[in-house]
Amino acid sequence: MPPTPHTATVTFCRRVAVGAFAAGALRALLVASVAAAAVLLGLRLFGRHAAPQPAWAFAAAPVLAFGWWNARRQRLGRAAAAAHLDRRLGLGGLLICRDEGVELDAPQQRQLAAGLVALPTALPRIRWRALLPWPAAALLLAAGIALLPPPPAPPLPLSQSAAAAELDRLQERMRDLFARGEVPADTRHELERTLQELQHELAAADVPQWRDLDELERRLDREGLLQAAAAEAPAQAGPVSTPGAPTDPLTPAALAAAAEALAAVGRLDGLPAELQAMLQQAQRDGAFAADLLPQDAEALRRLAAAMAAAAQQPGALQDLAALGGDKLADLRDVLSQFGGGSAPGEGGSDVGGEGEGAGRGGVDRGPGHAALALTEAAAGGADGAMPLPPGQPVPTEWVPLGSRRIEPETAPVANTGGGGQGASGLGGASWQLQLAPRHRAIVRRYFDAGAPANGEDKR
Amino acid sequence: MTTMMTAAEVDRARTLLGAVRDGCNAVLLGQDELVDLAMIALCARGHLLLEGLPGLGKTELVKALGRLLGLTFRRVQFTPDLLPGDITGGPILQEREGEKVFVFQPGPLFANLVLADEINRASPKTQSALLEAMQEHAVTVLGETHALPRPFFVLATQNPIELEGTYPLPEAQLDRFLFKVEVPGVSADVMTQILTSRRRGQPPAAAVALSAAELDELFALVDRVFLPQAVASYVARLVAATHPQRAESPAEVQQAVRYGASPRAAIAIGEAARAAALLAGRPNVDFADVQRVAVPALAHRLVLQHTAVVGGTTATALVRTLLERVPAVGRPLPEAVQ
Repeated sequence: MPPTPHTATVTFCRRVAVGAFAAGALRALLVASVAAAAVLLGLRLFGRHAAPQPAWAFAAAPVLAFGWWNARRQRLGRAAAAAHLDRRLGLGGLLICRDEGVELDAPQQRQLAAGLVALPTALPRIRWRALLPWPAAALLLAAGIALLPPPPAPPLPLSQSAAAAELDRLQERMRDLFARGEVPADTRHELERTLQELQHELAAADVPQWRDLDELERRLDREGLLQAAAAEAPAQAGPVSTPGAPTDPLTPAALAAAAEALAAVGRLDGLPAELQAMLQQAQRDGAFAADLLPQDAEALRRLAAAMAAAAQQPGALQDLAALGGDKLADLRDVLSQFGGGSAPGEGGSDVGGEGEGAGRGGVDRGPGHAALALTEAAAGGADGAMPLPPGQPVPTEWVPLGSRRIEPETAPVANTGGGGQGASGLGGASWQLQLAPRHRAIVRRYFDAGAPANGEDKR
Repeated sequence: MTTMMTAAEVDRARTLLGAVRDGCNAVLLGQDELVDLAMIALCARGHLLLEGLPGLGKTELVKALGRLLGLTFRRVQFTPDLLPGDITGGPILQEREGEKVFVFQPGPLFANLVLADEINRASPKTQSALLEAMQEHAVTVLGETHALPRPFFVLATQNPIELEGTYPLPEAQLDRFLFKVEVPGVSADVMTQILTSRRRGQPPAAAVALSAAELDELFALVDRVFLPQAVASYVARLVAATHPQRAESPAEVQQAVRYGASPRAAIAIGEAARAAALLAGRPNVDFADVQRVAVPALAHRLVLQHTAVVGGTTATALVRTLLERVPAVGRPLPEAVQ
């Protein structure tokens, strides 16, 4: 049964509409896929990841809409469809005439019906080979990018509640610290200001970094330790000079006792020959006599400075600590006036001139100096570089790779005892040096480059 | 609802046309396409301009048509000294009932079939005398209009190589010709057939194939051929594309054509396509009929740029380009389907 001219024309129109819809939808799919691939790739480049979600299915809506719009735009009218079909079937214009309402006689209708039998072969074919490849390739590309494993997650940011709890805890600790003992006024103000800044930052819904909280806690730790050391010092070694406070004058007796202590641990050998000769002359019955020492203040100061330097030699303090008793107390008096053991800051002494030894305006890392602790051995330490996490841009300055709580390896020493003549170091005590990883090797080279030519250890 | 002419009517038309066509083919051997175009022009009631070298049978074709159709036939040999009055006729002083009066004496144009041989040899003045006759089927002399007999056909010939002392037809007159047909040469086989079948080249005597009534019947049948809207649109787009200033015009046309075809060309194509459809046995015009008559109906109506003429571009080639570029159906299929 051949189709009627109307049916044939409608079928032809429908096939054309399907082709136009497919072309439009595939074109939209191509654009959408390329855009999606670009967005996903961009997110990847910026270290983000969008996992596939069922909601993505809604992206099919604009694709289908564009296909529908294209089908409407390229919709073939019945007259045009009849003309196309007439030409394809070779009907000699009979179908066109019939579509335009011309009445055909029986032989012409039979001729038309016979021609319409071949309608399936005359219907337009969709050019899938031309339409499919690019959209399919783009879709596969977008799907491939979307299905890539997610990049390593960045460190979780500090949550608001955790930051608030941590700040409360630090505030409590600060209150205990201030209640436990004396804290220098400027230090106290600085700590309180830091805490307030963090609290304001938290109040402004800007979560503070763990690094800042840890820094504050570290400072509280340090101040607590300094407070404890300051409280212990008077009990063990008498009065301790505090910054700005007047110090006791050096006496030959104290110097003699200190020399006794150094001699007991064999640390007098490091003194200059001139001073060693001076001490040699002051010996009586195997001990140093105060009355045999020079009585002028300058000579005594030089001697005291040299002994203080000797006491700072590596291991000297440990040896001296083993002596205990009065010898150590005498030595502490000397050292306290010449920066030995606990003088803070580098060059922070008020002593004029640029001398060589500590307390004379030279490089003095102060009594608070501790061994350069490079924290624990870890990847990214001074011994080796650690690659940045994938997706992270190369930092221009430095970037915190992590923040952990560790116990300091060096026992702090009270930030007491300034430079010579009661002048204390102005710099902060450096019981713990904070160094960026890339600087550690430089610092280590600087200090480990070998002892100076005169045998003086820079440290 | 329009009624298509019946298959019986189509068969009748084919029979009538076949008789004339067979007679022409018997006279003019090996020129089937030329005979068909002449038949189409005749059925469309248009004038025909034949262009070709001497001796190809142009005059013989016209004479055969006149004999086959039983029409009055006149031949006018156009020369440079031919005057308009020589072809239209003129008043002659005669004595009637004792009075001398001017009596119009019809010229050779007063015939059904006029052969204007070597029309480009006549002066423009004489050529223009044909304008009214060809368009209005009437002649006006001394303010008096005389109707020409119906049907009236002008079949003109011109020689394309002897241009010395000739006057090329102006565009206005060319436009009056339905077709301009270039008469091709014949093959060696055809010449052999002519040599063996005819003494001194004399064609067989053609008997009258159609009576005047049958010719009128044929014309009526041609008028009943249906021209669909889609095909008419194709004709219109085809003619519009000959104008170089149109956006849809192909680049070749825009470069080579100075003036495109007039609406008269579209009318000519439509009428010729009806006759072509009937000749092909169709009750309606198809795109193929338009394509068949487009070249002879359009080519002589295009005015080419001088540079294009010098460059060897021909109007025939341009019309063929148009036929390739202008889609038959106004709304082409989307690219997504084939």
